[in-house]
Amino acid sequence: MIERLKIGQDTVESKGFLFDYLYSYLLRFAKRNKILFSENLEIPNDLLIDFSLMLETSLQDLLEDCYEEPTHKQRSKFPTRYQKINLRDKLYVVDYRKDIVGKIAYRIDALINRVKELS
Amino acid sequence: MDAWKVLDEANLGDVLRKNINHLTAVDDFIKRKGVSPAVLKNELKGLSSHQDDFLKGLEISNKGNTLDLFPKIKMDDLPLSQDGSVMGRYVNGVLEVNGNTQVAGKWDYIVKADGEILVGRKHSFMSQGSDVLAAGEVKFSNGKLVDINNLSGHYIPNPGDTFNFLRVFKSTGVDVSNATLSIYKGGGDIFSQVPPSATKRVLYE
Repeated sequence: MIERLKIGQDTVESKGFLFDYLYSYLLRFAKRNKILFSENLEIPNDLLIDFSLMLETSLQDLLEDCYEEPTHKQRSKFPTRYQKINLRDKLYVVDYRKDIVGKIAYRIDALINRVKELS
Repeated sequence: MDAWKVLDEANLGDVLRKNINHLTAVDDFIKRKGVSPAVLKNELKGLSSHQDDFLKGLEISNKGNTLDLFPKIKMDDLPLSQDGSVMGRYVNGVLEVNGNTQVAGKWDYIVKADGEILVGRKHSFMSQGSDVLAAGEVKFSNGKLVDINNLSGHYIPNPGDTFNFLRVFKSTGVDVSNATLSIYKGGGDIFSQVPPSATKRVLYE
């Protein structure tokens, strides 16, 4: 399994479930671009934009299949549990503490922003 | 030795039963707290893959719940929240809030490595990314602390970490006698609850 991503000088590690979800996307990305990997997957600088697009696709797949808009009551009762995600001109509000979909989505979004900063 | 019987009847694996530290911890705990072996055995059976962390918690309890014994929890690889706030802190076990803030409802909290407890909004803002002893949400009712949980999007304390949270709060002088410990799994489902009146409560303090 992939345990960390190396992006430029950055190393990205996460507590398990992010890479569990992303594994099939990362595998295909690595195979398509002929990148050798083991526990570490290193993304070459010239592939950062492609990598970012792949992450966006993985996030869109997740949200299209699993996203549920929180109710106003949920958001006002637990205001600190939610984070906003902007993806391809659409706004999503995810519970990044208690909902596994929200946890993964928030992490992928953070990763996309990090990759975009580096590319 | 009672510990052999407890661990054996809880159908723990060989590795666990051969761990002399765990055996000693269970035996000491039974003697020191006067806990019923049956209560301990039942709890162990329900802990699935977290038995090892639970028994380490008993070891810490036997050693007096000193702050530097508790495991530190690292923040996940995420950016710090910018929209948080610190609304209060515990000083000598008493919650001191900023201004006229009313002590009611759910707040976020962190327990820093030095034992300082901050309450407010957003864990990573309050901690600035440093390791913590505990993180999650606290609930107050009529000014009393009534619930402590492990829901943090940046720290994600697992059930094994969370077994110690009552001990951590108590060791800093906070009154947890009215507080339920609510332990959530990584997927967001409840793993276990330890209310003040539960027979098993003694195993978590």
